[in-house]
Amino acid sequence: MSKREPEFLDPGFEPGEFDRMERELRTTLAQETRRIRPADRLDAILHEANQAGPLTATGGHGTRRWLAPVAAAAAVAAIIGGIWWTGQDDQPTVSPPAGTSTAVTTAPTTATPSTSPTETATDQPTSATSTAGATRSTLLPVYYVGPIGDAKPTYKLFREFVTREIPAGTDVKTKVKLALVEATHAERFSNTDGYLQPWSGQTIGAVDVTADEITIDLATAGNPAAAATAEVRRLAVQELVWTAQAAIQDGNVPVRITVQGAPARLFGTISTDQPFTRPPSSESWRDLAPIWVVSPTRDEVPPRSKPVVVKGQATVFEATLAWQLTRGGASVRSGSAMASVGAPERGDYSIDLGRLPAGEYTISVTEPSAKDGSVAAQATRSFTVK
Amino acid sequence: MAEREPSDVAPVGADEGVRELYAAHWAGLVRLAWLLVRDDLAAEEVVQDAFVAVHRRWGTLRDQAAAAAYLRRCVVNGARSALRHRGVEQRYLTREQGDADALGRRGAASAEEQAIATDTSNTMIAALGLLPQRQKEVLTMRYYLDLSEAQIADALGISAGAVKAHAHRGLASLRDRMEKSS
Repeated sequence: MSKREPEFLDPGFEPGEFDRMERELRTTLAQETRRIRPADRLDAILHEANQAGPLTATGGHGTRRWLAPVAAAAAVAAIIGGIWWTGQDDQPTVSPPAGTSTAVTTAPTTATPSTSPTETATDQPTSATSTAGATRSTLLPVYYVGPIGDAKPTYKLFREFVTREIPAGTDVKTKVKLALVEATHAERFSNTDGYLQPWSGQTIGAVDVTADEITIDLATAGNPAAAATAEVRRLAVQELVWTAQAAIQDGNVPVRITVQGAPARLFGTISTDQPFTRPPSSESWRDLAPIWVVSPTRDEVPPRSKPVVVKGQATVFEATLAWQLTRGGASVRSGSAMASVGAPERGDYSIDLGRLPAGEYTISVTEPSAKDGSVAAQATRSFTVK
Repeated sequence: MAEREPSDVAPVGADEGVRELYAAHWAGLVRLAWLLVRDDLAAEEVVQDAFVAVHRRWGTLRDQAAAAAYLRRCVVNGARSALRHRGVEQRYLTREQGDADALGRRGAASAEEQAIATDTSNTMIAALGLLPQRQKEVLTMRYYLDLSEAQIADALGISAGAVKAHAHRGLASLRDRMEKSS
């Protein structure tokens, strides 16, 4: 058990400096946990995995207490149609994922109000959950740094639509801030999608929006240890830029970032002297992952009675994509698809899977490498047909 | 379109694989989760979610080792998510302040258990609970699960250098707290 690795600690340490602490910590943890007697949940796990509704982004089932409000909110959003991505986002075709309105069937109606709006919307004068009608479920486009699915792995940006309860009449500054707060909390997507958490521990301060500029004030410049490479650091900044620009939906308004009101070097390296923006659309590949699956959405439960159509965006060589549908690890069907335009432009693709029997499926959309046929990029989405 | 009924393809492997993983890792991971969230029920739920997620992903996991690594990632992220959404940690800390003997578990510890718990371990567990989440995660995975630096880096999605740095800082502040309280 005690495979000691002397190099585990920083080389700057005195050898043996922490020997006693390490020993005591080991003993303490073993002692403490010995008294925890976990209940048997194997049956519940297998039942849930085989029977129940869709997994949420945290890898949890939709009935988990702290997740239920999200599903319920999605239901409300779909029903009232008060959805907020009606304008332009980053691409000509950023429209709400079709079929969102079918995602509501398993949402519990007894969910207690989510506490997260009040937790993060600290500049809101009233509680976001105070009275019915005072808030509105809003889908915020939020960008995250995630692995593109190659072997390295390479990281780029992915977009998620995150549902938030937002008080009616909330101004655009607050919307930008709420979206940015979500962008700095990638943990709920880390399980299923491997999204990084480069802004872990960050607090979004004041946000200002004028016709010419978005200003974002951060509490800290970012921990270099949380973003392993220069590219991840760059993407971490771009994640905020894309999220803020998507929130105001007013073109590529430059984004100025400050740290506690002053210029800084983000992650110790990236100067904030110049404002940031997203690259022109012909160069979106610099920031965006080659393949996104947009629908089915995460919580969507497509009905057996209707064909399932997978839709997404791709920036791939010669617009060529391969796809595979699996169920319980076994391949059900596979094929190829074309994006509407090839790299370097970003195109839309659509895969008609036809009607599927009830069950759990995973769709993988792949860009085969032009060089050797290995996987250059891959995006997957799991969904349940009922 | 669907000439070949997908239901004909039995989802072999996932149930069986999850059973094996459960036998090997359930108790250990619940204990890991407990160390991170300090709440019995939340710990079990986080790990249950992780197993369900592995079942879902079964087809994309190369082998048992990859599945175990994925499980750990899920547990750590699930614990973070649970902490954020439920204020579990806050409740724990409040209880801890109110009652020096409270260890944040459901039900009272037996007399024997209380006798076994030395002052040292109480202080250390409390001190560990006060560390920043990342340091807590690194120290717990290292000294409870005996994971290698690379395994921890993989589970947390951070660099090996960052694992070192978190371990270092965590141990240093644990030591400071222990020295202060002794």
